[in-house]
Amino acid sequence: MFWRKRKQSDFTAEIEAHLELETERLKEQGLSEEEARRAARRAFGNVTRAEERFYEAGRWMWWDHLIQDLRFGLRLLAKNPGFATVAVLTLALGIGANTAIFSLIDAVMLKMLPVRDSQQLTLLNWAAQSVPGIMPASDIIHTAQGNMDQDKTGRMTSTSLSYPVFELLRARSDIFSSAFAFANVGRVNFGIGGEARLAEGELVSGDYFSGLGVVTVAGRAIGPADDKTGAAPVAMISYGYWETRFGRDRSAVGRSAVINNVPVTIIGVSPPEFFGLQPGRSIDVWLPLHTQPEVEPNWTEKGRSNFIRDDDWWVMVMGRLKPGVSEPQARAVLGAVFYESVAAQREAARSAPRRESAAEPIPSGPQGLPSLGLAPASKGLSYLRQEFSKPLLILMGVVGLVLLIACANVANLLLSRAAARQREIAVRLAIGAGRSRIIRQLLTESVMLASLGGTLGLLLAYWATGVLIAFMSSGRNPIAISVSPNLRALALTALISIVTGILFGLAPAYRAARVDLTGALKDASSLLGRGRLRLGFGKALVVSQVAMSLLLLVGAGLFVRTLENLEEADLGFDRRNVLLFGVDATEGGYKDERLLSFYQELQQGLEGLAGVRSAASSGSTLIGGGVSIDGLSIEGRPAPRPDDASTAVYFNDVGPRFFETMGIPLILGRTIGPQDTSAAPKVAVINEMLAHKFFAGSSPVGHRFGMGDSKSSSEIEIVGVVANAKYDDVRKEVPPTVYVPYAQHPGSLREMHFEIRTAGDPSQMVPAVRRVLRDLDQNLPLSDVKTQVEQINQTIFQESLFAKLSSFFGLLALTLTSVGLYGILAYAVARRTNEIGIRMALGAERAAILWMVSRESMTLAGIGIIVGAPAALAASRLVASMLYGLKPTDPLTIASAAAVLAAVALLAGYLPARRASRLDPMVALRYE
Amino acid sequence: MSTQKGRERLELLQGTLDLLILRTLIFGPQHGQGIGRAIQRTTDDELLVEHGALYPALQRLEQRGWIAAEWGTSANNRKARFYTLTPAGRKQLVRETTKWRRLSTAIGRVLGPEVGKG
Repeated sequence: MFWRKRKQSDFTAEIEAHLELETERLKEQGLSEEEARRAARRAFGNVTRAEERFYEAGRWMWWDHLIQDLRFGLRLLAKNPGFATVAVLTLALGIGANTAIFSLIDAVMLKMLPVRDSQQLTLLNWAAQSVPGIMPASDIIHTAQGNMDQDKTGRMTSTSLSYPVFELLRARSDIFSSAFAFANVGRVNFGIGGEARLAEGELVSGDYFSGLGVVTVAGRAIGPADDKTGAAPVAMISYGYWETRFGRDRSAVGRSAVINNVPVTIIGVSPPEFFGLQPGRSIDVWLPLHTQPEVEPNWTEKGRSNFIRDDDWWVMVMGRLKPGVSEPQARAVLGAVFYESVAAQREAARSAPRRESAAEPIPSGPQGLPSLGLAPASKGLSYLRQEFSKPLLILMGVVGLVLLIACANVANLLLSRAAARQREIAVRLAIGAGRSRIIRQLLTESVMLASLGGTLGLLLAYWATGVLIAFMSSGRNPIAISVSPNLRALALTALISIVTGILFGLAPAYRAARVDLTGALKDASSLLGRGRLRLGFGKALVVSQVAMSLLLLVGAGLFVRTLENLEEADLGFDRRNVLLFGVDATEGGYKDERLLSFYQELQQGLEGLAGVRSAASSGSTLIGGGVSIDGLSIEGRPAPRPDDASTAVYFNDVGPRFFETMGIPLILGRTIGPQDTSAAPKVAVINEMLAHKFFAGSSPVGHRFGMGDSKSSSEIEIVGVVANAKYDDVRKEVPPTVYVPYAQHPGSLREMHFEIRTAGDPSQMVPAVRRVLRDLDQNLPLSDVKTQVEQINQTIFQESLFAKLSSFFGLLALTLTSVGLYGILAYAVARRTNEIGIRMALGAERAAILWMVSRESMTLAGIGIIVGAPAALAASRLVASMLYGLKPTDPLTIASAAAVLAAVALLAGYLPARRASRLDPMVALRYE
Repeated sequence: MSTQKGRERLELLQGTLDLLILRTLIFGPQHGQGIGRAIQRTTDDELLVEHGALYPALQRLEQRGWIAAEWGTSANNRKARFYTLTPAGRKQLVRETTKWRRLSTAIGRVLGPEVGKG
């Protein structure tokens, strides 16, 4: 199409040629040059009009208009910087918060694993019917690693399988093109050149990396040849670990290291985007599955290899379905293989001699047997999603509301501005501007505002995402997610800002273009009669803003009070001035007696430090999240059934002076002391809750009990009762708890945690503590060094995050709403200046005027609160599970939120009201 | 152009200019001024064709692909833009001519036979 390229100059030349030809012709008819030229022009008509019509026919038009509109819009914004700043900032905050939260949701919930064809991956799991809190299928499963969750039908589910089952499933090459196993080993002691540090470790089978399609950036990946008993131990490190520990030195590949006392060779580095299969948890080092007996010798019972045992379920299995194999097909085939295996196991268990005297008879048939399930694994394992999906969705709702309020604000701003510009628009219409042109001009302006807001919002989002991640990582489980505002987040921001622009641009634009020309030209105030009606839409916006703000304020109130309740909860022990850390001496090769004495020496060393009041040790620190639960059988009472949850009590292995150090008062008898050695009679201290539950009305001291697998119910004697103290979680009630001396239960002894009560700031003691440990053994790293207060704060970080964010957003909403309220009232006062002048001239008191305007703001706020209260009540139910110590319908919270809103509304209304009451009637009457 | 004075000429009906242009071009390439002249001549100066309206119309027809344009030299050696009818334009002319004939017949029927001038 050549015409598109035809230029204006070409067209002008054509007209010029026409005039020449016409002049020529007329001259031939006998006219003079001058006459001919004039006549030709006359016959042509309006040259400019012809040129304009040519111009408009081209598609340059809209572009040209756009440039014009943009230029004009920018000029207007520059002329009114207050309006522009408020509008852009308002939008930036709304859009920025939305993008930040969406980026997080994207990283946590939507992002696929950075592996080849992740949609083909499937993670195996099993489910079995069971009493809550009791191990399902306990006749065939001795231990199961990892978390167990309850599914929708109440069955317990887990992703851990036994190694023999993994091999059976992997053998089905008709279903899987590859299948691989992995197991979490938690933190390992990673020593390089004599310097020990902790690293997150994972055991993987030989086809893990090839199955996932993860290619190393240096060296090679762990292969099937590495994953065999007797193979030279190797390790693969993550890109992040390579960076922090080796400074991305290529020679790291091939170096030897010591992991949990096992010498290994580093063979490769994973790509930077691969953190392992769990979004949020980042693995530092991968080891072949078959290094387990060396790296984690505690997992292996004497003489029973984990690779042969079918009752130790410790590996997670992921597979890549063969192309053409459907999920139901895979489920049927693999399910049958699995069932055959567990049914055979049950048969074997039935015929084998009983391990436990009090165990239930093993059912014959499939009752209570686990069944296999398949789940798409494309987004990684689900822990992070479970923990954060609801909070993130709620946050999304909160920031969505903020964005709505922001939009309403900008709409109001534009609305009142469009009204103020009515005269200008009327003039433009009068001199021939098309209505569509005017609407387009106004739309351009609002989209421009939205784009400015969107751009600023994106910058804000970058910053806010970083802050949020940092905050979320301060919880108990550090989070590693690669959150870069990706294309999806970008697209969403763009969409939000453009839709917002159109949304709030349309209403004023529509209205502005329906201006009654003569009226508007004559005088803006002649529209006064219809002023109320015209403000209706703006008022509706303000009312909805108030309602949404109430929602956010109630949410903020609930979360803040939840945090307060948690922070002030009575824990039963003194949380101040306590330093915590952990040491695992078994990683240094300590065993049995040596291990016990090592921990004792360490404790004595700590007590000898200046500034330390007392030091103690325990298997689990308080409010640390870790627990051991076991059944209790009390002497002289019927033995409990193994699935009877009512005898389940919490255990903690503690050393001497534990109660004194933690500030838990003794009620009866004595505490655990240095005399309770492995040679001494076994003793225990119980808490009041347990005493109340099992020994109501009598003194428990002197009673005897047995625990868990032990054959005797008279093994342990109760020597004391201490006051109630929370164990693993601030939110939970105090559980019935048994404290036993760790020295008397050396079998389960591994990592030990130490508590140090200091005279001053506990964090100041860290270097001294490190020195004490180094003097004993320089190869052992400290882990989990933190104060007791820090540890508690970590468990309530989500509540603290919510309290902070919801307060911030509530405040933001309040500010936006008050700006909206102020804006609409200020505008109303400006429009009614004349009327107010008349009223005053007729003798209206200033107070009456003040009241007249204030009443309006109170009415708006009142309607908003009445509309918002039921919505807030309904919405607060959604967060009921996230609250502590108060109900979602807490009347105090709702009342104070409403009161705050009313106060702010009064304040926002006061300024314009005062201005109205101070008008000089003479000036006001002349006001146009 | 004294001939034009004192005589009221007919305004062009909407859309008829296009038809006239296409019809004129059937005799071969012509520039804008020539087209205007030709229309005026063949209608015995009855129709008022404002020259200024001609060019946007030519532009429109060119955009639709009914005529094509090229700069050339006029008979008296002046530069001018020459328009030719394209095959599509020829078809359009046939269509429009038929339509116009039907329209004028129909209107003629309504108005009845011409009454003698009184």
